[in-house]
Amino acid sequence: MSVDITSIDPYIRQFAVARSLLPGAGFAWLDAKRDAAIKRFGSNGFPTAKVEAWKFTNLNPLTQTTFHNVVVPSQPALTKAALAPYRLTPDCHLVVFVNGQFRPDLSALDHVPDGTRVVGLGDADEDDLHALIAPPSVAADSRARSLLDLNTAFMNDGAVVHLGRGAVLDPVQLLFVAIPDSAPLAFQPRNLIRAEAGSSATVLETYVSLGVGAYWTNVVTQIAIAPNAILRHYKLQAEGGSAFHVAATSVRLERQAAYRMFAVSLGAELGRNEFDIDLAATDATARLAGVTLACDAQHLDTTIRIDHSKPRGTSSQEFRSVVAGHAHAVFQGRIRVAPDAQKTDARQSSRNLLLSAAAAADTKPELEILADDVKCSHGATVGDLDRDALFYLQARGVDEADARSILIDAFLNELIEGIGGQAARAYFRRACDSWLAKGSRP
Amino acid sequence: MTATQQTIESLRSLQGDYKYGFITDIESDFAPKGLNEDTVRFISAKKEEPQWLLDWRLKAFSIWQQTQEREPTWARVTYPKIDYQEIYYYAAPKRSKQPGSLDEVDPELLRTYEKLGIPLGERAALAGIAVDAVFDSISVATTFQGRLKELGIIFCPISEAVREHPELVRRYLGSVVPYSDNFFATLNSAVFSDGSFVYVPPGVHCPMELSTYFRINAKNSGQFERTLIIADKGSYVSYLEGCTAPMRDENQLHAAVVELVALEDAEIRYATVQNWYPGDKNGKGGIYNFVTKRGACRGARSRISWTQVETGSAITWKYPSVILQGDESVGKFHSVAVTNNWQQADTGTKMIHIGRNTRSTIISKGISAGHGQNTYRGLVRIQARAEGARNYSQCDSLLIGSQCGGHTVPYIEVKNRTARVEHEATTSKISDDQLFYCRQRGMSTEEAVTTIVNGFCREVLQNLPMEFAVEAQKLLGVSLEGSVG
Repeated sequence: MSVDITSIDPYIRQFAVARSLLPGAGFAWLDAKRDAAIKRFGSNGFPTAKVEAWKFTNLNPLTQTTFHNVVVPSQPALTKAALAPYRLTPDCHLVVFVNGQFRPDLSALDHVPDGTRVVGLGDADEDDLHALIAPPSVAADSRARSLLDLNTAFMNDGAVVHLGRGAVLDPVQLLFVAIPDSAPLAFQPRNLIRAEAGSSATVLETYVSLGVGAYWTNVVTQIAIAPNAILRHYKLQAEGGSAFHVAATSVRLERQAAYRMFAVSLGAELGRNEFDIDLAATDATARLAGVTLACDAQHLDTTIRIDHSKPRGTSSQEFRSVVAGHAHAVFQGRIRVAPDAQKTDARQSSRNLLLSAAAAADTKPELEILADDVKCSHGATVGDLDRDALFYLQARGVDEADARSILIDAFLNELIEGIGGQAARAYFRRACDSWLAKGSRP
Repeated sequence: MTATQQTIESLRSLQGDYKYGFITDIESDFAPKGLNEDTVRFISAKKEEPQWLLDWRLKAFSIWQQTQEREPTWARVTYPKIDYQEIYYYAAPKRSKQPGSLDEVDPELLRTYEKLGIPLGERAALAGIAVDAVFDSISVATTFQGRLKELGIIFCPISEAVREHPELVRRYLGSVVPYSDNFFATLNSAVFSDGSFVYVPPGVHCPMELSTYFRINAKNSGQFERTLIIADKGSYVSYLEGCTAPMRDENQLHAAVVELVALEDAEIRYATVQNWYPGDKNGKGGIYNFVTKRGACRGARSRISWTQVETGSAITWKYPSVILQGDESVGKFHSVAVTNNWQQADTGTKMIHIGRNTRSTIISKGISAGHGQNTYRGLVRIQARAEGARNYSQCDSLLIGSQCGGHTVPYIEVKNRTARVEHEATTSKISDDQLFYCRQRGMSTEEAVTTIVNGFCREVLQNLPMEFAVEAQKLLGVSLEGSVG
C-alpha cells in the first residue's frame, strides 16, 4: 500500500529536531524504541479506511493539517480559579497539563497519601519508562497502531500514577487543558497508571479547551492492574470544537483484578477513544460503559478490543450514543476469547439514537470465540426514539419537545446511574445536561 | 466422565461417513489445464456463444488477470495458495448430441443421480420438482421443461438460454453481480460453464419447485456455474439447489455466481443445501466453496429470501445478499452453517436498504465442532433515502468441543434516523442441564445432541421446502457425527 508522504514527512522532520530534547533522551534503549516507532509510522503512515480497525473513521481531515509538536512549550498564564469549573471536586488530587505540559503550579498534589506516587513524566524513573513503553498485549494490525507509534516517538509529558501494595487513592484527576495557538499544535501525552496488589484508586481524565482553534491531542495511557487491585477509570472528552482527539488506552489485568471505566465523549471535531483490555489472568473483571454525544459535523468513534486470555474472566461493554445534526457516531467492539479461557462471561451492547435526518451511526459488535464453555452475547440497536413511548407521554399532556428530552435523558441516565462514585456521577450528569441544553435538538 | 466426554465417545463410535463420495467412471471432455485467454475462448466456442458474450468473458478475464495478486484475504479462513493454472476449467461428460429426452442421457449419469437420490425420471413426477442436473461443467438433464413452457416459464441450462433467449440473458446477466464485482465472481464471469436459467413471466405463480443439482466429478476440475433467475412482475418462484462431490485428496475449487432479479410484486425463494465434500477427518481434501450470491429487489413490494444449510465444503466463503431497491421490498436470510473436523466457514449476508419501508430479517445459526471455525460476517446498511427501513438480525453460535471457534462480525451502518435496526448474538455450548434433562427421559446422548441441535436450527429449517427440510435435518445429524465433544 502506498503511503501519503506529504502528510507524514513533516512529523519525521520534527522528530529529527526534537529527538535529543525529549524526556528520557540518552537512555539508549528508549532512544532505540523512539527511532523504531517513528520508522514504523513512516512506513505505515496514517491509518486509512483500508485498515479494518479504521474502516469507519476517515482521518483525512486530520492529515490535511500539519500539527506542530512543541517540545519546549511556553507556559501560558493561567489561574487555578480558571480551572475550577472542570474539577471533579474542589479538594480532589489534581494533576494539570497545559498544552501537553505538566504544570505543578496549577496542580494539587500536596496531600497524596502514603504509598502512592503521582508525578509528571519528567520525574519518572527508568522503571516507569519501561512500563510506559510496553506494547499493548492485545494483538492488532500494526498499521492500526500507527498513531500510537507516533506518540511513542514524541511523548514528552504525562502523568505517572503509582499505587503501592494496598494503597488507596480516591480520587485523582488528570486535567488536560488546551490553549490553542495561531499555529495548530499537537500534544502527545503518555500516562501510566500502575496499581500494585490490593490497591484501589479512582482516576478521572478530563480534556478541555480554553479558547478556539485547531489542535490535536494524541494521548496514550498504559494501565497495569495487579492481583486483587481495583481501578475506577473515568474519562470526559470535552475538547474544543475544531480539535482532534485520538486516545489509545491499554489495560492489563492480573488475577482477580477489576477495572471499571466510564467515558463521556462530546468534544472535538473528530474523536476516537480506543481501549485494549487484556484479561491476562484468571478471574479478572472489566466493565466498560460510555456515552457519546455528537452534534453538528462531529465524528466520534469508540473502539474496544477485549481479550479474554485466561479462564473465568468477566467483561461487559455498554455503550450508547445520541447523534444530532449531521454528526456520525461509531462503535466497534471486539470480544476475543482465547482457546483456554473457559467459563468466560462477556457481554456487549451498543445502542444508538439518531435525532436528525442527517445523523448517522455505524456499529460493529464483534465476537471471536475459541473456547466452548462460555457465555457471550452482544446486541446492537440503531434508530429514533420509540414512537410508542413518545405517544404515551404526549397522551398524558407532555408536549413533543419535552417528551423527547425526557426520553433522551432516560436513555443516558440508565448508564450514568451505574457510575459508582457519587461525585463522578454528578460530574458526568452535569456534562450531559449542559450538552442536552445547548442544542442537541434536531 | 462428564456428559461431554460421553458424547465424544458415543459419537465417535457412530463415525458417519460422507455418503456421496463415489466417483462416476465416465469419459469426459476437458479443456486444456490452466487458464489463459485461449481457455476462455475454448469454453465460449464449446458453448457456441455469440460474440457479445465472448467479449464480456474476455473483459472479465482481463480484469481478473490484473487483480490476480489480490485474492481476498479479509475472511477468517486459511488455505494454501491456489494455483489457478493447475485446474481444469472445463470438464464435460462425452456425448454425441444434446439429449432430447431422459432416455438419451447416458445411463451411467442417470445411475449417479439415482445414487444421489435426485429424481430425474419418474420419481420426479411424484416429487413434483423440476430438476436441472449439472455434472461438472455442463447441464445433463432438465426435467419438466414442457409443462413449465405451457405457463411461459423458462427453465433451462444457461447455455441454452444464451441461444434461445439472448435478449433476456443479455439484459440481466451481470446486472446484479457485475463481472468486475470481486475476485471470484470475476473469475466465474470469465470461465463460467453452465448453470440454470429461470424466467417467470408476469403474474405467473410457478406451480412446482425448481431445482438444480450440482455435481463435481472430474479430478482437478473446478466448477464455475452461473445461475440467473428473473421473476417478472407479480410472479413467484421457489428454487432449490443441492451440491455434492466425490471424495478426493486434492482440494477442488467451486466459484459460482447466482443472480436473482425480482421485479414489482414478485417473490423469489432460494434454498440451498450445500453438501460438497468437506475433506476427511484430518482436513485433507474437500471443496473450496467461494460463491457470490446476490439478489436485487428491483420493484416495489418484491421479496427475496435466501435459505441455506451449509454442511459441506472444506472452506465456505459466501454471502447471499439482497439489494432492497424497490419501496416496501423484503429481504430474508436464514442460514445454518455447520463446521466439523477442520472445516472453515465464513458466511453471512448483506442487506442494502435503498428503498422506503424496506424490511430485512437475518437469522443465522452457526455450529462448530471438532476443529471447525465458523464465522458470521454480515452487513446491514440503511441508506439515507431508506425512510422507515427495518432490520432484525439474530446470530447464534453453538460450540461443541473445546478446539473449535465461533465468530460473529456484524457491520451495521445507518444513515437514516427513521430506521430501526436490531442485532442480537449469542455464543454458548450445549448446556449440561439440557443434556441431562434429555438423558433423564431416556434419550441416548447422541439423540439428545441431535435433538438439541435441531431445536437450535429450527427457525431456519422451517423455512425450507418440506423435501429439503427432511434432508437437511438428516444432514445435520451426519455432519456432526464424530464431532469431538
